[in-house]
Amino acid sequence: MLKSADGGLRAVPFPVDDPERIPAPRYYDAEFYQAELDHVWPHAWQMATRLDRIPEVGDWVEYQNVGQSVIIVNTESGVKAWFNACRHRGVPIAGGKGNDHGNCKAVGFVCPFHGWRYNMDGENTLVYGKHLFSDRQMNPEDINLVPCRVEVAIGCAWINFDDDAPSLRDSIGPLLDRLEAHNVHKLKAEWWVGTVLPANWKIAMEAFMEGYHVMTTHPQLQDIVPTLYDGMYKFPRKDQLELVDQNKSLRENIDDQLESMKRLSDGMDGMLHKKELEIARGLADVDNLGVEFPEDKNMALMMWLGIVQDQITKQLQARGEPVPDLNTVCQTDPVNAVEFLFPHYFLLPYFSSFSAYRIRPLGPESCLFELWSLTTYPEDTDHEVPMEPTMIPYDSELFPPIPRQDYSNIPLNQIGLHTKGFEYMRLSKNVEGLVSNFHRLLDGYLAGVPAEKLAHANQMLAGNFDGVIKDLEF
Amino acid sequence: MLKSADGSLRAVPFPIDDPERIPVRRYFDEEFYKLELEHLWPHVWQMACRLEQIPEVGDWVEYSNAGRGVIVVRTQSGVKAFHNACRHRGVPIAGGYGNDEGKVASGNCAHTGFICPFHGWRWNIDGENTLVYGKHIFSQRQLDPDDINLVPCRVETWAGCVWINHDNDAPPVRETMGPVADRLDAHGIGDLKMEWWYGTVLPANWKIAMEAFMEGYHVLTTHPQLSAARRDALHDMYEADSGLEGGTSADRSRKNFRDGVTTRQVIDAQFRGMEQLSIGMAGMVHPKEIEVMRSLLDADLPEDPGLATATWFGMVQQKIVDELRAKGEPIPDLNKVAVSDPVNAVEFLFPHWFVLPVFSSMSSYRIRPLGPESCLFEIWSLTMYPEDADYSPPLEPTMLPFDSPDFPPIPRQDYSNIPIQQKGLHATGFEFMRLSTTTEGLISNYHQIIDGYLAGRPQEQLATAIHELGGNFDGPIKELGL
Repeated sequence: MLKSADGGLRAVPFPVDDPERIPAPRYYDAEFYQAELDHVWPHAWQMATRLDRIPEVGDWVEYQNVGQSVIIVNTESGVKAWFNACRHRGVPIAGGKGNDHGNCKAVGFVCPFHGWRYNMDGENTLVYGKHLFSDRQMNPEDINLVPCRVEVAIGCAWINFDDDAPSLRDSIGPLLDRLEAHNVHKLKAEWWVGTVLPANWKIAMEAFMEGYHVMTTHPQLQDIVPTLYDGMYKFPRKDQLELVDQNKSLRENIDDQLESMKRLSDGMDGMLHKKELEIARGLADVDNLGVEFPEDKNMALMMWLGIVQDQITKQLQARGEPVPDLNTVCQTDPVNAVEFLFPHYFLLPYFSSFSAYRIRPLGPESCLFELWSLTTYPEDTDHEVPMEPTMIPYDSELFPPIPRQDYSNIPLNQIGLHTKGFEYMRLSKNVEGLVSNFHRLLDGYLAGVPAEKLAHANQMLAGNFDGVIKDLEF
Repeated sequence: MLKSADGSLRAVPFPIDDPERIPVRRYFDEEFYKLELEHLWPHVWQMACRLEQIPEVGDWVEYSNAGRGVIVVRTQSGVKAFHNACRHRGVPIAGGYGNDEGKVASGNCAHTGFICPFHGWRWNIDGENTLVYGKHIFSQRQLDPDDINLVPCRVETWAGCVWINHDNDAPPVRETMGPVADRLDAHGIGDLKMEWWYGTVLPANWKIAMEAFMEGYHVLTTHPQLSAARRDALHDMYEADSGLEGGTSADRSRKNFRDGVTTRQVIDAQFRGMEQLSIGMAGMVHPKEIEVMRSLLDADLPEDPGLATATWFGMVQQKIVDELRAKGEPIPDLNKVAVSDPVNAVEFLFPHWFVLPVFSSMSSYRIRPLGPESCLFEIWSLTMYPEDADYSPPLEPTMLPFDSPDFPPIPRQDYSNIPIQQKGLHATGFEFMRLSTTTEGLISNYHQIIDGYLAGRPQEQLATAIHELGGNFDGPIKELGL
């Protein structure tokens, strides 16, 4: 059951000894869950908040996970984070319920228990009845708020409880730059919903780590462009994916593409934004675009998609939206349809808008799953971002169809894991590699592998959606 | 708190050290509940479904209990069962919704087989994998044919039901239940069919819910209408001064009657008692049987009330047999089997199934835990149907709140005690249930068998002890050899 300790490494319960097989107890065993709380979460970069929630100096939000609460605040000198406990008797100085927010510029933070005060830089500004305390209890540095490590990237504030962990950029790697080339940091939240899923946090995430499930779980996506999905999964993959049905004309193939985009747009409500779909639809009449398309239908469709990206760029830029040149960045800074940022954040880019997910454990068999629709807004308009997720039941009709389809499998998956004779997940080495790589990175944290090696492995997860099992080199 | 380990046996928390006293924490302690999930349920024969639910080849139902789901399916070569998890990433291949709301997933797989809803892997009716979508993306060793077929679960049929056991080393179901299985067979238990099926969630430990049905001592207080119907003519069999103790059975039979009562009064009291039972339990004494009794109220009978009662019940049973057989129902000779294969008013089939036979129909219960202090309680009315009659079974229980007026009066009366009893167990100073040695023995006996499972006693020894539960309703505490 336990990995033999190897040169100072900790034993890992239910380790991934065979990279193609994930032991089932990792998804429900109480000891394994505790090991994650002890050795993964306090050392990993957690997406604490989107920056669009704290645009002004003094704006603060609370972030909670696995029993720890942190206040993130926008100050004159950048975003700061403080562990959320009064230096007197430990009451949270603000919020404490998980999703609170406010502005502390004028009032600072006032502890609700005995009224001790702190400014936005965490400095204690008042101890009520100071004479009641011994001098040594009032050492100025000792009664300031305890800072938490924080970095900003791709429009979010990230926290890490481990002062010795490599920086966020060294942990995630060049993917952050590629995402910023896509102007991810200029996106704003259009909507934000959350749900509690009766499943381990990893089970909930792994439904989004490969596209192999599309045929069965999202048949409406497969049905409209079967050649594309069959080329990815049903048959061995070719160097150049076949996008078109050769029995149909270019126009018919483009109509299928538009229908596919519509189903994705409706299904995710934001990943492929309606405004982008409208622009693409305006380009459906290929014979009157004034463009000479190549004979090869596959090439022709690629060319048409290039025109769509060009028009989305130009038309949205004309409205004042901070959209990059999509045709340029998809060459210079390619990103995958799903990008997983270890340990718990996802971005799903298509053209200029994105979906995003964040997942937090609530226990061995329960998790909080949040979804955002992120898009660009004209830079001079006021867009009011949601400050809290709208919480809805996971089987609610209010969820867009695609996540609802995924959510219908996830709780079942958790039940099936307990079944007699089901000892491990049996992964595809070619397209479910991200699931394996993620688990083996977790094992690295659980075993106490040096932080630099973990960061190196973490960088290998970029672009690994739907990809292969890798040697993580530790 | 812990039983000292004996040989290779596991320690049992809150064990039955005194057979007349049941430690109260067995009904709510988390650790005790977890040990039941780990050491009891995976090693016992569980009533998974009724055979009427799967009449055709390809018909399947899901049975889920204690966190584990099994698919039961009728195939060309008999009933089979498979553990309900896809061999890829573990999503249930069908159903998978658990049993919290009494839902029963079902369907027919004769044409389509089973298709995992996650990535579309497929299996046929015999559990063989028939499709791995995109086989080329897996390593060869991951697709070893034996290893990607569904994992079979042990399954047997008996008494009109499908029984499953997660333990391949347990003795077969009939050997486990013992001679009571033969006696119930003689009563035609295998020919009964579901007339109706109800379910409810009770806020009580599964054992508390069952133990309300393990003795008749509660009838006077919980079901006063049953006692009242007989009170004028008959003594209460549980009354200390009833004089029913001692002497021969003939003596006891005579003492059963109040002084000076006539045969007519006794027969009338017996009939009203049966009528109350039929109203109260619907199927246990079937209305068609009540009508037969009513038609014999004026029959010529001996003057002696004892002799008259025996004669009258003999006439009733004979007429039930004659009339229902004439309709084509496969009724056994009730008078004959009452002598050759006597069964009790309640028979408990360890660990969670009950049948309540009176004449030719039976009530039946099944109980499953939903947590330390919650359980799913199902009730069936089972009766015979003419063999050529059109019959369509209920596919899942009608779920009702436990206090619903739609439940027949008798279970409703029992259900009104069960949830408050669960609360009473937590009262300070209430450390153990205090059992009667002579009429609440079944409760003690089955708890001792649970301890046998928790401690890990050999399966054969446990089966021998389970045999002692046959006919033990309302009976004494026994020496089980555990």
